[in-house]
Amino acid sequence: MRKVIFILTGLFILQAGLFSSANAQIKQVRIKVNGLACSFCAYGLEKKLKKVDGVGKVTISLNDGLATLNSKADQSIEFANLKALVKAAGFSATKIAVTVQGVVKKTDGFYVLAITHSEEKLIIKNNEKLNSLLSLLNGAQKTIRARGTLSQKETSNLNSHPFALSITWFEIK
Amino acid sequence: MNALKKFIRTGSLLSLFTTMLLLLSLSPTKLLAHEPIFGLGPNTIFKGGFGIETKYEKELLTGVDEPERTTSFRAEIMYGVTGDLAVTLSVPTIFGYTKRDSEGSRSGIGDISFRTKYRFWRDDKPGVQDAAAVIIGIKLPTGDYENTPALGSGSTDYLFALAAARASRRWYYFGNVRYRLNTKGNTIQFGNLFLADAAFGVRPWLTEYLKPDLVVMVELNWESRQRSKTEGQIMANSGGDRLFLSPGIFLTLRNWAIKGGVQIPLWQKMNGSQRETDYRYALAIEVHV
Repeated sequence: MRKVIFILTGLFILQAGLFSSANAQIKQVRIKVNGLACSFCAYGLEKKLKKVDGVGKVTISLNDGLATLNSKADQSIEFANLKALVKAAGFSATKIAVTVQGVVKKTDGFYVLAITHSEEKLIIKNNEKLNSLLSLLNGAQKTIRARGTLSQKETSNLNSHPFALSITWFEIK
Repeated sequence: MNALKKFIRTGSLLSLFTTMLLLLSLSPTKLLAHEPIFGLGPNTIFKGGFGIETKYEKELLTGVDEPERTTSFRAEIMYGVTGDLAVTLSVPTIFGYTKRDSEGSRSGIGDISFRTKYRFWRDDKPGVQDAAAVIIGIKLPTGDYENTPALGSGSTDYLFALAAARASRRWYYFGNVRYRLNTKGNTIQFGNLFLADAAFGVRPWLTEYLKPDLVVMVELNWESRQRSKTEGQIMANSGGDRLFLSPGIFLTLRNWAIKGGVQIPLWQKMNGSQRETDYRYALAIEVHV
């Protein structure tokens, strides 16, 4: 009987972990694009960004110089090549902001956001409020929903985490 | 040979060739909507993208003998090798060329040209793009040049150009210089051609993406052609200078564009006895895929 309870408990924990992973994703990306002057030119940008894995809808605002990518249902937007794609369209991406949901882990002294659908991981840049909150949780893995900007990592000893996320807003799920 | 000398004396043959060559050379790289219609800009197309343009052009020349009318239909396809490098194939079809009754009119494929444009400098700012590009092209003698009126020059010619522009949400500024180096054809070596253009455009309404987008543009086009040669002799009725004022419009909707413009001569100084241009106009449809 104890064995059955042990297995059921294990399955419950595994299911809970899978549930939180399934919700981890980049839901929206907002790219500040420089050089965007006309709608005819913007077509190339739309076409490039629509091909990005996980992207469902692309909205371009010429007057704001902004391209907004919204994810397909239950998919995460692949963000690794966004700057290169904007360049291939003939423009320059200056700022990439994301709305993301994922599991926060502490690895090698850094908080990392694991985005399972894209197999990407983001180092969370120093955020005192988030750090203190996560410290109180005593290292437990937590799912958060956050908004912030992406940048190439500044830390060289974490090869598996190519991007850093500067969080401007978050909530713990 | 006597017939040829007769043509040279009257300026007819040269005028015919000049008209045709000007039409061919006036569109070195017009593909891309927000570029001058008769001039040239530094814009390319996105990497892996195709631009397809069909263009209708017409010119009327008068002043010596009967008027000449040339109508051409041009198909161009551009491919973006990278975001800053594009190659273009241009296939002109000349038709409805009417001259004297004795010469009638002819139609057919003109001289096919191949060009590459490299945008070597680009500075992107919010809502503004400054850019400069170099263009190199070759025109092949694919058009029939042995019958009259001829559809091609019979020579392999080369194009070198430099273009720069500032494109912003409201204003456009363009400038370019072009030089066409002509080699010897069947019997005639046509004079080299130098062109310089300046253009200014404005977008009256700052519409958003996926809405119709109108840009109004005015160009100043200068053409200077050297005298041509035949059998080592300079042809008196050849070469000259022209200056045009060219208003035009661009109307785009997402990846489709319609553009058109008219070239109105402000000043012409043609050597010897040659026809002068009354007007030229062009109308084009373009799509990017």
